Amino acid sequence: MAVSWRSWLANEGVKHLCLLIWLSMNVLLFWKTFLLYNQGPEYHYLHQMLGLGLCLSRASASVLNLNCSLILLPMCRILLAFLRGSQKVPSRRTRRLLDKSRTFHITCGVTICIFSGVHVAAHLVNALNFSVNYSEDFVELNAARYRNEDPRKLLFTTVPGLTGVCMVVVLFLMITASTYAIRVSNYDIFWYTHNLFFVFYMLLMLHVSGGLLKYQTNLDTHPPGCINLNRTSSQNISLPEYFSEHFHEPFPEEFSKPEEFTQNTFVKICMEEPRFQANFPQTWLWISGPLCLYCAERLYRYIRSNKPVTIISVISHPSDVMEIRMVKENFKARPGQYIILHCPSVSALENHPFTLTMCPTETKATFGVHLKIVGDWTERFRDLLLPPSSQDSEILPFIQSRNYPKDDWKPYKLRRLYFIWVCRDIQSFRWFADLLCMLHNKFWQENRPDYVNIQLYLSQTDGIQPLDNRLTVGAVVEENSCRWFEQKFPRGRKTVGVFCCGPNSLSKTLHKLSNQNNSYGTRFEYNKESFS
Amino acid sequence: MGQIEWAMWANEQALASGLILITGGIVATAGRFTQWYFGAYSIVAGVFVCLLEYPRGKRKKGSTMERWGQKYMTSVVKLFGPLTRNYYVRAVLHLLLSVPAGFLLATILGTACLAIASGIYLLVSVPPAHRGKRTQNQTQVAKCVCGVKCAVRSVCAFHVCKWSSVSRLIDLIPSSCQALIWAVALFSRGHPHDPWL
Repeated sequence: MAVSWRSWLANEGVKHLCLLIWLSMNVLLFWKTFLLYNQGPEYHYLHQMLGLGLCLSRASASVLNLNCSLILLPMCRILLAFLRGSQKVPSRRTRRLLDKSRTFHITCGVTICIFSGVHVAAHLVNALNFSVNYSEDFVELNAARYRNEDPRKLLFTTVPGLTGVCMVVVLFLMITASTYAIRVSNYDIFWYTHNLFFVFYMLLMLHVSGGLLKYQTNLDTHPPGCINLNRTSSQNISLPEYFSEHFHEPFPEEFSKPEEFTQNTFVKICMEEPRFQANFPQTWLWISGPLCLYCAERLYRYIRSNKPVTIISVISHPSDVMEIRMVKENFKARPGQYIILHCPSVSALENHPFTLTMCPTETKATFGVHLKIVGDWTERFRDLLLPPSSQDSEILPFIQSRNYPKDDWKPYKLRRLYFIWVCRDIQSFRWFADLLCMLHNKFWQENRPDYVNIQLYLSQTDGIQPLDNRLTVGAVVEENSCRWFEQKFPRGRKTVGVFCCGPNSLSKTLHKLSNQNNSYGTRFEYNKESFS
Repeated sequence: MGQIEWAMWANEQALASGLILITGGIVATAGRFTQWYFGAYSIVAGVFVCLLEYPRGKRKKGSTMERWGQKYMTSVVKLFGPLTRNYYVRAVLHLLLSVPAGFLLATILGTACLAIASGIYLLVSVPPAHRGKRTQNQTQVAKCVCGVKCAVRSVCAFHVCKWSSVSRLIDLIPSSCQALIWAVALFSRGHPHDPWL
């Protein structure tokens, strides 16, 4: 089916625009730095020694600077949550863009991987060239101590070399543990190795302080390629005509006629020897801001998390679900947010996110989550709070609920809520049945019976005959979703928010459907919840 | 914590190391520098490691995400029976494969990465009951020149509360590293003015 441009722009437009801006910044930085080292007069002698490797390594380094600084910003979750919930970001489009923070983090991560590869390869070639092209004329420009010094010694005995090797190893550990398969199956490995980022950044700060690459400071008194009258080696012997014409001539505005040997294009006289100075480590300027911001955020999270939470009640539901109700001082949350639980008695190091199923209100401070017992942490947590159960664990249900305030009605812009829940078997509905019934009764009492429309789907039939048209058995979700989308929404251009929490295949189908054309011109804004 | 399947991570690492070896080998061989044959070896070793590690092993608990098209390689890998099934054999094999690539600058990082994967396979191959016993039998901790030990220590530091056998890992990995460095040093002595890659 054809794409609906309204929906596509709402779902993908801003995201793609930001991606384009980010890409342009990377390309610009890469190109600008490449040209600087390729053509800049201050790097003329260094470029002669190292060649293309110098330009590639420095250009990839500037891209790495940008991405190493940007990658930390999407992980400042408290700051992002504050921006998202505050009045300072009124546009829904911008708020939805903030939801893409994890995707942007991954994009920057992949870029860091690719350009680290380029950077490392180019620097390995540089190490070889430092060794082979050792310069007796410009001794301070050399990284090697003598001609044909073993480049592996340069790698392991210099600060940039050694820190570079360590950074590659740390990056290797982080990347291999960040693949989708590892995140889904062994999240612990991903989480612990990802915390090595701090080691990576510390090594990066040291890496750039080495000062191996130098630029020439006295370009006015020693234009690159000028003729040194005192030196006889590695210089062109100038022709007498040029010598007499250009003696003591100031720096020409245009290039002079090129010589036979391409090394020297200028025929000027050197006033003095070239002087070199190490580059200032720009990386410190790039990464110090975001790193400090992220460290401040982690510190704030740690301080905030030290305040204890009191568990008011623990309710055991069918299908291995446990509901926990808690109170905490000065805790505010809105529907749709999640909390991270940390229980030192269960595990000193593990934290786990759970979407709030009950939010604190102005009159009642209690908030709650529903946990599905699957995995060792939830099992131990349940054993701590409730007597041990012998029930087998099942796979997580597809959906997490959003529970709007029960006793404090605020006028949300939402006009109607369609709640679609897909489960494998009918037992899985039982643990949520009470909550759904309460919600249904509440809206009936407030004379809003059509506010919440509940649709339940069962993927396995097992001979069940539904008595109610709210339950569909043996449904193929994608097919029904398509028809359902078309039927449910009346004429007129409306905006429908689609919120999906489920497996990737379902999410991809719904995303595609949300972008497709429909007869009524309705715009579907697609949102997805994911923790891995 | 005890349910972490380290072998899955070792598999990802070995696959990535194979790719790094292939890349380094191509750079070394295309440049035709001295001892470029180590680069050619690195390509062959990298391809072999990639093929061996491409099929993702079945998880002990839960469903396994298969890599695209892995069933073709799975049938070949299964033919070798315990040689490919056993993690100890894989650990030793990867360590031996990584050593020759350490002589070239272009492939030295591939060596380091494959050695780390080998270390993790070695860790997985020892049953949990015997881990404490081996710690007592280790004589001394060898110093490791490269940053592998630092990285492994950083990873292990997060487990120190829950895992009593961490000191065994710290003992083993530096020993492998030290052996590797000694081997490289022993065989890399040559004319000081020979250009090295």
